[in-house]
Amino acid sequence: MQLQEENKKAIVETADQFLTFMLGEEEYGVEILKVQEIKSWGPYTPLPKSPEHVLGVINLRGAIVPMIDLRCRFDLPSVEYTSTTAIIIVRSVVEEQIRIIGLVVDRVSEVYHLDNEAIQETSDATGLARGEYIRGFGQTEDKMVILINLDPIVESSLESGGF
Amino acid sequence: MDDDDIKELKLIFLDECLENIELLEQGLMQMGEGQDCEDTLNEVFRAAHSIKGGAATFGFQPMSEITHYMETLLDEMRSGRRSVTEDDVDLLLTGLDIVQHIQQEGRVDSNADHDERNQIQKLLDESVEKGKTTDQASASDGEQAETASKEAISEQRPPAKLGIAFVPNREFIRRGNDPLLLIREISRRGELETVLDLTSVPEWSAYDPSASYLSWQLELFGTSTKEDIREIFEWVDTDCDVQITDISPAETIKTGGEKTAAVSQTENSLESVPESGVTSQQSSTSVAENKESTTESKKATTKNVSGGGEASSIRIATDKIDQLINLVGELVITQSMLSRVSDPATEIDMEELRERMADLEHNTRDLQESVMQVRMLPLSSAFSRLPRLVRDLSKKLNKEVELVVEGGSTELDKTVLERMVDPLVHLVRNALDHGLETPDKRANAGKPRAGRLLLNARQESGSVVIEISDDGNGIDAERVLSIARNKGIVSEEEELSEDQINQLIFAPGFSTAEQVSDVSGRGVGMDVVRRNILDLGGRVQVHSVYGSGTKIEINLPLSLAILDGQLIRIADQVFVIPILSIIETLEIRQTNVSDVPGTGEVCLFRGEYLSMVRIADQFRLPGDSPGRLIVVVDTHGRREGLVIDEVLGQQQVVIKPLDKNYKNVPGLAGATIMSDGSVALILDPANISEHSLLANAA
Repeated sequence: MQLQEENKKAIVETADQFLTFMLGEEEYGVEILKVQEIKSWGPYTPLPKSPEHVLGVINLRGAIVPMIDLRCRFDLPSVEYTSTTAIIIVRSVVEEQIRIIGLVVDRVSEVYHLDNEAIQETSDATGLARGEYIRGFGQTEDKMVILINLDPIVESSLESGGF
Repeated sequence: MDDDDIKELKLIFLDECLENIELLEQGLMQMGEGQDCEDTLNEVFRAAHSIKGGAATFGFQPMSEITHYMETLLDEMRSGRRSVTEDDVDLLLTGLDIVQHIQQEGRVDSNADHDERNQIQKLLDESVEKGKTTDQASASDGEQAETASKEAISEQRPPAKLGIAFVPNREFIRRGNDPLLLIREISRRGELETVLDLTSVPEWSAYDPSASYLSWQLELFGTSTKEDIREIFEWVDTDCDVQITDISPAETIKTGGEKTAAVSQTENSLESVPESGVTSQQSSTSVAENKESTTESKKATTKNVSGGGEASSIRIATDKIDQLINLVGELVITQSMLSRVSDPATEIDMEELRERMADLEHNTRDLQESVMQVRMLPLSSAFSRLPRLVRDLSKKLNKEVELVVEGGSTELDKTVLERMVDPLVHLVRNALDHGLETPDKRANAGKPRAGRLLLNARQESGSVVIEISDDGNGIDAERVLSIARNKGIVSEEEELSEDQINQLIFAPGFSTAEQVSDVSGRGVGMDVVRRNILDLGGRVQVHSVYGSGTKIEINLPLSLAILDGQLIRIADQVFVIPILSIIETLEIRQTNVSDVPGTGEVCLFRGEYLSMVRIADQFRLPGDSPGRLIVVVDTHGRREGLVIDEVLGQQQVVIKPLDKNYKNVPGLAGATIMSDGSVALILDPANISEHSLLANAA
């Protein structure tokens, strides 16, 4: 009984934790509950007839996992992939189905605990929002983190382009 | 039991129902052919009875009703009170069709073919009544004393219908009473219908096996009085609550609101209760497991939602499972041996390590094969519907047909098998309608009056071959060609070989039938047949000799999950091409390639021009691709040349769908994982060329 309570508390606590990563100078955050694991950069198989931001697929313990280059997705200038380049494996729900997707980022940064007061939703910050892809801005002690809205990003990435 | 448990049980019932329907159909067909009946009849009766019992338990009212009528007729036959006639068999088969429709819809309130059902029920009833009048006639002759005496009794006292509410208390069984004995006793007094009330059965956790939770609503139609029945319950009076009411004139009990109704024989319902208890125990454990892992269960639910419609089950022979368990056992032993050999505390014996690794490889391969076996089903399950089809159709078309089925034990992946049923049915229809001639015509041509339809299945290396051949009229190549020209499928100038003409029957919109009948003739069938087969990664070809018959040959992969692949290299990337679609590989010489305006590049191959698909350009592959080789593939009966750089090895690959985490990509059938852990894409020849045609047209 007590254990259950503790578990619940643990879930509540992790619910407002965010894994942050860097794209250029900016720090972005994604809900930690959506993150499955982090993989180091390695060879991949390019996918033909796919949008530019879909780099290709990798083998994740037997599953074929597509990778989205977030720089490309966010129209940021591309950089060379280095040893710090990381793949954040996330679980995103698209069309009622769980998809395992790799997000290619410059490097993984920190885990922050952000409660509701520390998050400014985009609807309040007019003019700053990049459509539905940004959930809001998180304020830590010394900096600001852009919190991304994972599911719409993944969904539109899978839909757009084609060939 | 909660709703999920019931749902699960219902699915099991529907599965079993299908099995019983098949049994029934096979049995009825045998009866129709006038074979030795007694065993068959018993089997058929049991199958009908199981359907009826199950249907009533799960509330499939229409289904249980019609099977009830069928059962009554079958019972008459079984007890020898009437002989089996062709008409009755026909009637039963039609009734069975309705049962199957309801089974397919799988809904309790399913009212498929409502009018037809009523009509069939009426006919069944009439048929039974007809039999009875003959009975009575013979009885009055004094030959059947028993019937006569029964009737005598019923003359003394008019038969009445008694409603008996029988509610044992919890202690009933603990005190050494047996409700079944009582009910059996009552059933001797006349025609008894029982409705089992399960509402007081508690959750499994609260279930006490020695307590009695069941109660019954009985309806006795007979000559017994209330007092007679009261007598039966005399000894158990203190342990149960019995109420007897007179409810004649005859009127069936309306199953009340939420009661689980069971219009079945008492024994049946009693036996089925402990069983359902067990199942509910299993499912409640799985519920508990789900609760334990919160995120896991959440994931599972979402998956179930998306895949809800596709969920299906498979019945596996126990020996296949036993084999799997044995193999896993061996695997565990090998694993423990390996960890002992590679123990860092001792010196490693390379010789033994190598040996164990060889064992491991052996085990793994066996295990893979056995696991694949689990999905394999014999073709006979698809063939079994054909005799019925042939019987019905030959009657309709006034043709005589002898159906021969060979190789029904050949096994095929469940998915492949399920998707082959419709094409098979279609091909058999076609053979009967277009292929075989009428008996008179056949006699004139010096053939036996009955046409012969041969279905043959066999395994050939990595694929299964199904042949459907008839000794009918064959394909009239000239007529086919002229129709194809008329319909604009083939242009006037095009010259075709006889074989190419034969393949035209698979072209969309092609039909040789002068009249569109409900059997065939709309010209949508054959191209759908081919489409289905291609989608399964198979091939279909037709061979025909005008005047003496047609043979259709279908090549299917053994499994959809594993494919024999040819590894090739284009630019810097390795791809897989399904071997089944490859015809041959040849070197490109500048002399045999030409660029035709409007069509693109073509290549001369065995006197035929192939359109060439440069995959490196289409896929915009990085790197240099000189493209020195052509792989000739068969797609939609057309041949195309895929330009590649190098042919690598052949190997079996496990197909992983791309749309699981991404989406389907045109030209790709999926991806697979190579031995070095990298991902290789599997080309889908059919789609590559389709797209290239579009690209060329644009």
